[in-house]
Amino acid sequence: MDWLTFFLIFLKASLLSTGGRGPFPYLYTDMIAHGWATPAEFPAALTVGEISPGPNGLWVVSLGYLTGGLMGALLASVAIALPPLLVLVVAQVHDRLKSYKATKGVLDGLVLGIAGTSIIVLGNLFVVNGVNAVTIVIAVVCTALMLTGRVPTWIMIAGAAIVGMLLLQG
Amino acid sequence: MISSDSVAAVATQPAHPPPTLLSLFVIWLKIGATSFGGGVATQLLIYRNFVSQRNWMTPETFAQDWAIVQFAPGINLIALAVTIGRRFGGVAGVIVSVLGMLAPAIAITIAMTALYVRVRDQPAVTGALRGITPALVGLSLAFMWRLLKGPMSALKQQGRPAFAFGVALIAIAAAMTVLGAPVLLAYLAGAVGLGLWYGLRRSPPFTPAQNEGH
Repeated sequence: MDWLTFFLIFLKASLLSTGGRGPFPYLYTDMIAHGWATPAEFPAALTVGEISPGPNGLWVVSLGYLTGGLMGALLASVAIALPPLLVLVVAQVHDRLKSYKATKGVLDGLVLGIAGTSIIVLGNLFVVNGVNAVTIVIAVVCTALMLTGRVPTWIMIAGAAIVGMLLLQG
Repeated sequence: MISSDSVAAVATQPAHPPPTLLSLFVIWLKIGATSFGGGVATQLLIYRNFVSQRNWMTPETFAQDWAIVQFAPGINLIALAVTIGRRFGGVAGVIVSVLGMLAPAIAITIAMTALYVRVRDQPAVTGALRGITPALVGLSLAFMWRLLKGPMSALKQQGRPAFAFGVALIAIAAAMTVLGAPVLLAYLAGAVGLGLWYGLRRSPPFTPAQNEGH
């Protein structure tokens, strides 16, 4: 394992994204391209991140462990701990930039870019996992429930796990 | 924690002794180890510990910190630990806060992953994961939809061409990803595209405060 490249992939994913799931498109494309991760390792890591304490973004540490053992998990931990320190700089820069008209455009445009990319990456994950009536129903129901904002995510994940255990084995 | 004379001395504005580095560390340790249920649960715990229980921060300061961390790279909750840590203890405060929040949570995350590795090949586990994957895809799509609401409704207010331009930028980023472009490049296409759109627009300048803090 080339640990420097491994670390830089994780650092880039955290540095150039925001929020817990932000690193997902980077890690999904980079780690699979290097042959260091399989698509199925991502939902596994994301699930651990959902049920373990602390920020959900710690799913990245879980992915680090799955792909690089304890060393991978430690490097991933350092990679996610460093970029948020930049918040101290961001506060000042944002104060200075928010008067420009283009600033809102850049920030909003970033969201559009993230949306376009995420749709493809998520679509790929969905297809690789297996497209059938059960998985389609799970995806649609969870999207709808999440949009209502009334059902905690862990209940949806637990429900999907039970449905999967019963209907998607083998 | 609250001594009786400090309350008596300033009755209108309760002056709580600021946290020491040790108490800061212990509080973040507690938050990191007990915040099951993800981001919102953790955010609530932080609010309770620093605002409602001890009055170390006003709800307004907390809201300001939360708004700023949305712009920080990486995990927002870690950035929040950084801002709050600095507020009460400078560089040392940042270190104890981030370490306290992350150390136990990372240890538990690794332990749970190791546990998963042991059982990953059992049919029940692979079946469960096959069910969880579309659920996570659905959750992420819904999250994305919510994220898009602000930028897209702002474009909608500017008329149909602006809205169509926004949709086109999403499609361009998607197409670039399909073609194997680096993720950052697809993001930049959206950022530069809409940055130019807003920058070159002749209509009255936008108030930037409008879409923050969601």
